[in-house]
Amino acid sequence: MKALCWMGVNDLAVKDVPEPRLLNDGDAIVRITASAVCGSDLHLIDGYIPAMRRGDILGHEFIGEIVEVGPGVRERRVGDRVVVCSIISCGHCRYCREGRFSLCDNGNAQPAAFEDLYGYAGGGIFGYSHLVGGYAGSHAEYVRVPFADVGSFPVPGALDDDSAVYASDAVPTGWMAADFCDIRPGDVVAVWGAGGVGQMAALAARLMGAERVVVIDRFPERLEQVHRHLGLDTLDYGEVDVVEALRDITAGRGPDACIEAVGMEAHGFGPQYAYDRAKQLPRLAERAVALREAILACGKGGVVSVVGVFGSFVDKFPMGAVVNKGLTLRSAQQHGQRYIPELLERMAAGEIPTAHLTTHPLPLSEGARGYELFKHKRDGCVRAVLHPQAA
Amino acid sequence: MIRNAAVVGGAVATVGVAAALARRRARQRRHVEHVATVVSSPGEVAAAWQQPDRLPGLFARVTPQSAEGGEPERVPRARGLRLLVTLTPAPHDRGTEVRVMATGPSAADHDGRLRADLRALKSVLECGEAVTVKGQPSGRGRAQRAVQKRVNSALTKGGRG
Ligand SMILES: NC(=O)c1ccc[n+]([C@@H]2O[C@H](COP(=O)([O-])OP(=O)(O)OC[C@H]3O[C@@H](n4cnc5c(N)ncnc54)[C@H](O)[C@@H]3O)[C@@H](O)[C@H]2O)c1
Ligand SMILES: [Zn+2]
Ligand SMILES: [Zn+2]
Repeated sequence: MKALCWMGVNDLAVKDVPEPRLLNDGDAIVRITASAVCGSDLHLIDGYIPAMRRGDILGHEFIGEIVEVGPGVRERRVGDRVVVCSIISCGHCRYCREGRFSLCDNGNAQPAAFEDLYGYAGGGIFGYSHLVGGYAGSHAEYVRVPFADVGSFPVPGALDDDSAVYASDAVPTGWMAADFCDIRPGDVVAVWGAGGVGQMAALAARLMGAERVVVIDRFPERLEQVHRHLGLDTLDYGEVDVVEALRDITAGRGPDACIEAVGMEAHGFGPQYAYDRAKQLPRLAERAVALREAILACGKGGVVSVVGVFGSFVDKFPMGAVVNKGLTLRSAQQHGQRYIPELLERMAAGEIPTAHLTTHPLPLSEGARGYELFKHKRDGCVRAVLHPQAA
Repeated sequence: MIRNAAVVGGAVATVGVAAALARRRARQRRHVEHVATVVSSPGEVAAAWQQPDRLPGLFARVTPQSAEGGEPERVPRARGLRLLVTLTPAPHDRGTEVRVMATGPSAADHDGRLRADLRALKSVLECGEAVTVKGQPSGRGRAQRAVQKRVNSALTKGGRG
C-alpha cells in the first residue's frame, strides 16, 4: 500500500509499504478514508521531537472503515465507520479508569525512552515517534488500531469524513483544554492560536458557558474563521499588545483562564523570540512566546491550560507570575476517549462546526505538498486532509 | 541530513546513556530489582500463575512468594540467576505492588529483560495483553529494518538488548 513517510527532517515521501496486519488480539485494521495533518506533526517534521526514524509512517487524526478485527474485539465489527482517537490507551489501567487516557500505563509499546526522559511513560500515539510507542500512522491506505474497543468510535451518518475526522484529535483536545479551565458564569477565556486546536478550544469554552472568548493569532484568514464560523472575538498579536488588550477587554480583571494552543514553535516579535530561536536551533530549549504571554496575561487565581505540545525545556519561564498570581497550570496530551462519544453527538447536532477547517482536501500522493502549505500557512491553509483512497 | 542524523542519534543516545548507567549500577550491585503497581488485588494477581502460559518471559518460571521470608529461587534454564517475586497490597485502592528481585552472578545481564517482562506482566494483568509494534509496516529498507530492530529492543528494555 501507499503511505506518507518521514524520511528525515523536512523530508516526507510517499512510499510503497506492506499492508498492516493484526498484531494483538484487541487490534482492528481500518481502511482510511480521511487523515488530517495536525500542528503536532510539524514538530516532528521540523525535527524537534526526538526518536523519529527514517521510514516512519506519519498521521494520527483519521477516520475510516473497519475491515478486520482481532479475536479480542467485542464492541466493533467489520464494516463499522469509525473515527479513532489519536491516543492509544488500554482502557483498564488506573489512569484509563479515571478518564485520563493519555496517561495510560499500557498504551506505549516501547516505553523505556519515555521513562528515561520523563520518569514515567504515558500512552501511545499513532505516527508520533518511537518515544510514544513507535506506532505506524494513518497517512496510509490502512492502519492497525490497537485496543480497538477503547479507541475507535462509530460515526453518525450525518457527518461527512472531512468534518468528522477532527473528532479524533483537534475537537477533543480543544474540549479538554476548556474542561481544564473549570469555567464559571461570567468568565473570560483567552486562547492563543487559531489553528484547528485553538479554534476548537475556544468554541468549547463558549459552549461550557464562558461569557466571552478571545482568540489570538496573526493570520487574517484564521481570525476571520473564528468570527465567521464560531462567532467569537479575536486579537491580532501583530497589531496589538495582547496583555494590554486583554486587561482592557476584562476591565482590569484579566482573563479567568488562558489556553495555550500554539506549542513549541510559537512565533513572535522582538528579542524574546530571537532568544528562543537561537536556543532552539541547537535543541537547548523550545520556543515558548505564547506560553509566557498566556501566563503573564492571566488574571489572579486563573487557570493556564496548555495543550500546545512541548517536548523538552523552555527558558525564561515566568514562575514568579505563577506563584504570585496564584495560577493553576494544567496540561496533557488529549484524553480523547473520555470525550469523543459526546463530541460526535454535538458535531452531528451542528453545535461544533468543523468543515471549515479542511481548507485543502488532497489525495495521499500530495501529502508532502499538503504539509508544506500547512507549515507555512500558505494559500490560506488551516488543515490539509489526505484521502488515501482517492486516485 | 546531518541535522536529521543528530536528532535521531541524540534520541538513541539518550536511551543509550541512561541504559549504560543503569547497567553499570546493576553490575555493581549483582542485584537487580524492578517494581510495578498493578490495579488488581493481590489475590487476582496471584491467580494469574494458574495459567502460566499467559505469563511473559521469566515470570512463567517462578512463583510469587510472601514479602516476609521469601527466598530467591533458581530459575530453570537461566544459569546464575535467582528470582524472588513478591506481591504486596498497594495503599488504598491502588492495587498490588509486584516486585521482582534478581540475584546471582548473571542478575545484571537480565536487567533489561526483567524490566520488559514486568511491564508485559502488568499489561497482561490489567488489559489482557501486552501491546506490540513488532511486525508493523514502515517505509524502511532491509538494512534500516535491522538497525530499527535493535532500536526497538532498546526502547522496550532500556538497554541495547
Ligand atoms: N495536547 C494534545 O493532545 C494536542 C493535540 C493536537 C495538537 N496539539 C498541539 O496544539 C498546537 C496547535 O495545533 P494546530 O493543529 O492548531 O496547529 P497550527 O499550526 O494550525 O496552529 C498554531 C497557530 O498558532 C499561531 N501562533 C504562533 N505563534 C503564536 C503566538 N505567539 N501567539 C498566538 N498565536 C500564535 C499560529 O499562527 C497558528 O495559527 C500544536 O502545538 C500541537 O502540537 C496538542
Ligand atoms: Zn494532533
Ligand atoms: Zn490504560
